[in-house]
Amino acid sequence: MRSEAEVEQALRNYGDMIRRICFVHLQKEADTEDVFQNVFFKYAVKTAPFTSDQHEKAWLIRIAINECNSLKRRFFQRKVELSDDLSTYGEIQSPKHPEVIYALLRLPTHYRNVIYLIYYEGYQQKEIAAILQKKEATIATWHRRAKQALKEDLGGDEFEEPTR
Amino acid sequence: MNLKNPLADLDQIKASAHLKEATLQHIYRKKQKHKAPVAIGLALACALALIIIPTLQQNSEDVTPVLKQYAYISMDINPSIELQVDETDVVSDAYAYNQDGEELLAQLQLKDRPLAQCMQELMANDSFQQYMADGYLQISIYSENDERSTTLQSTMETLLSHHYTREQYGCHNASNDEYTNAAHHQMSMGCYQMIERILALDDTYAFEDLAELNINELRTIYQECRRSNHGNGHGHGMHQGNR
Repeated sequence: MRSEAEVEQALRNYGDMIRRICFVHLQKEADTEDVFQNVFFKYAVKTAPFTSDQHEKAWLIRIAINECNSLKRRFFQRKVELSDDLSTYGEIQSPKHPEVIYALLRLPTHYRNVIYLIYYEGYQQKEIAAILQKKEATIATWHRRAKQALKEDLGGDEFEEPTR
Repeated sequence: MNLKNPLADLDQIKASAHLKEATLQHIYRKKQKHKAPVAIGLALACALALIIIPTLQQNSEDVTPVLKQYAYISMDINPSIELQVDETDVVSDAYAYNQDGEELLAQLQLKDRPLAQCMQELMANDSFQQYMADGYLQISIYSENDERSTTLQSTMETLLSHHYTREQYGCHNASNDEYTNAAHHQMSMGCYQMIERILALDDTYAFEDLAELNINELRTIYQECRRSNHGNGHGHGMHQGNR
């Protein structure tokens, strides 16, 4: 098991990232707290060491995504309509481009993961394939279809070039 | 509009100090439970073994209790429901996997009644008839006893054939894996089987996204995948030819 210091450091380094992944998947704060705690509990009890910081970060991303998916499957949930006001979800109080966030949240979950990991976290498709344990060609397909869906939704080319 | 960083608004999302503190407390509480003295656990296990093993040896000649063997029949049109049927073909339980299924079951009295009567009531129900008017009924049956599964399949097909044409329903057996996996994913066997068929033809779909669809939507995707596969010999993802 990891020490208190290690867990606290991981919370400092990756807490915001895990919180964002939860938002992208779940939106509701109550669900987010459950997933957030489960992710860092699994981190705390993981015995095998990480080979690098990148390995640690990639592992946390995969666990967070899996936990979000598990929570959604655990309970029968009807499709929830997105609120018109992003501040309803607590965090984004003064969005500069809310239409972009809404377009992201309207994407199927697996497309959202790819868009978030490429355009926010700056991963390459090959790296995302390793994180999500999918074929690189699958990630490329999801990226292409996600961009097309976003272009149709937003009517523009906001996602043409990854900039982070 | 070309944004330098299209997802910059996500910068505002942060893990609050309260969330981090609550998480640390949660982890410490769970770790304390983990640390409950192993020696005490071992001692208890040994004590129980000393009691149970002689008891089992003593009772080896006794008649073991007979466990009820249930069969499970899942039905999907858009409502997704499942019936638990005992060895005498009486429905012992009925449950829904979606809101439409719950609303349908609320209109019916199925528990503790013979399967044939339940099916008659179901087929006579107005809502069910509306769904069947332009829908397709997918039935999946599982029992640990293969012969029982086959018999039930025959029973269901006989009951349905009096009311519907062959194009309006399909009746399949489910394997133990399909039954178990469907239960794990909290979905009907019919939906699970359809998702597996889709993924076998095109693995660019994500299981968790297909899991949110109803049986009609899944059938549409499955038929599209089949057409794509038959049309050009491979699926519509970029990994054609890699199977």
